[in-house]
Amino acid sequence: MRIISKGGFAVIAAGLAMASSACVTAPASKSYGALRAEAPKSVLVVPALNSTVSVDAADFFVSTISRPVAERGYYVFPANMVKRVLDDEGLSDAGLVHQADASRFQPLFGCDTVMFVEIKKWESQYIVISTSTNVEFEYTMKSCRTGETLWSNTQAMSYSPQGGSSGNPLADLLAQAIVAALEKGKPNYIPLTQQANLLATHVYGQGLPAGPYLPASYAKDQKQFPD
Amino acid sequence: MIRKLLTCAATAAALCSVLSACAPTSRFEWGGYEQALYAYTQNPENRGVYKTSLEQAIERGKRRDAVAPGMYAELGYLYLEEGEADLAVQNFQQERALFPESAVFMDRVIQQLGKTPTAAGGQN
Repeated sequence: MRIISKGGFAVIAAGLAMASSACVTAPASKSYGALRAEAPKSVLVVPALNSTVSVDAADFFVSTISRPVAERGYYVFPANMVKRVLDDEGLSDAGLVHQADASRFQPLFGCDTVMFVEIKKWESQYIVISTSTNVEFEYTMKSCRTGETLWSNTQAMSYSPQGGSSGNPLADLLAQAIVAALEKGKPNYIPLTQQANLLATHVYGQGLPAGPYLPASYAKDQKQFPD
Repeated sequence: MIRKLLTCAATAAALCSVLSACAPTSRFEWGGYEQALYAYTQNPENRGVYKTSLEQAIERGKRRDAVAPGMYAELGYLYLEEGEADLAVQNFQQERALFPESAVFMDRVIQQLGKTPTAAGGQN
């Protein structure tokens, strides 16, 4: 099994990486001045905008975004309840939600920020002996007070399962074809999406600086997340 | 043969302890929340699984003061859908007490149910 991000990080043990926070450094840092000035405590993640043909991509996405953002020290509003409440407010269409000004959510939720996520890629490519599953997400965090964009990031990940080598090339090829066929039937987007969300939010200089629920690093990580 | 198996098991155990030693604990307890919510959104019949996952995540979180954001509110919302308004409000109050950032949202929902929000919340 192999998971590779576009940035070139080879993440072998999904579980290990999931547990460690902000352990990967990336070259060019984003600027965090606007985010620090606002010092948000809470994040309202609204239903993802699905720009792909995969119908259940958005449903799946909603279940994997709260955890990585909260683990960076922010209060994250209850994703499923928020979705239902938006439905009641006549905002069941993600396209409409994403067009709305971020300040519109303030009176409803009392949020400091809104996180808009667009699912740009969610696909499996089957090429006889290997299947590659690819996802790409674009994250935009806006102030509920001013509507200003405070942070944005894009994360692409791909995954291709690989069998071990048996020393018999023909047997290996056959085994790989079987694995690829299985993967085509039921591509596993779960670890891939978790990895993408984790990297998008946790990488130094790219992800989110520590929020107030991480008191040990809150407002002390300017070096890792510079203005 | 048996000795070889035992050696294997010992090696595996050693690896395990090394792995768990270097894996930092997460800030909050999530239990099976992610998988269960996905299962529930895919099929409403998995509602029970989702509800149990929330209850377990809360129980485990309480043990080390690490109940995750949204867990009480999500559980409260399930009670609300089941017509259990009192249990729903109790959970919304818990969310509010634990995370003051949720106050505007929780108070609004509680007021819509015709109840009076209390700043104190329940026991926790």
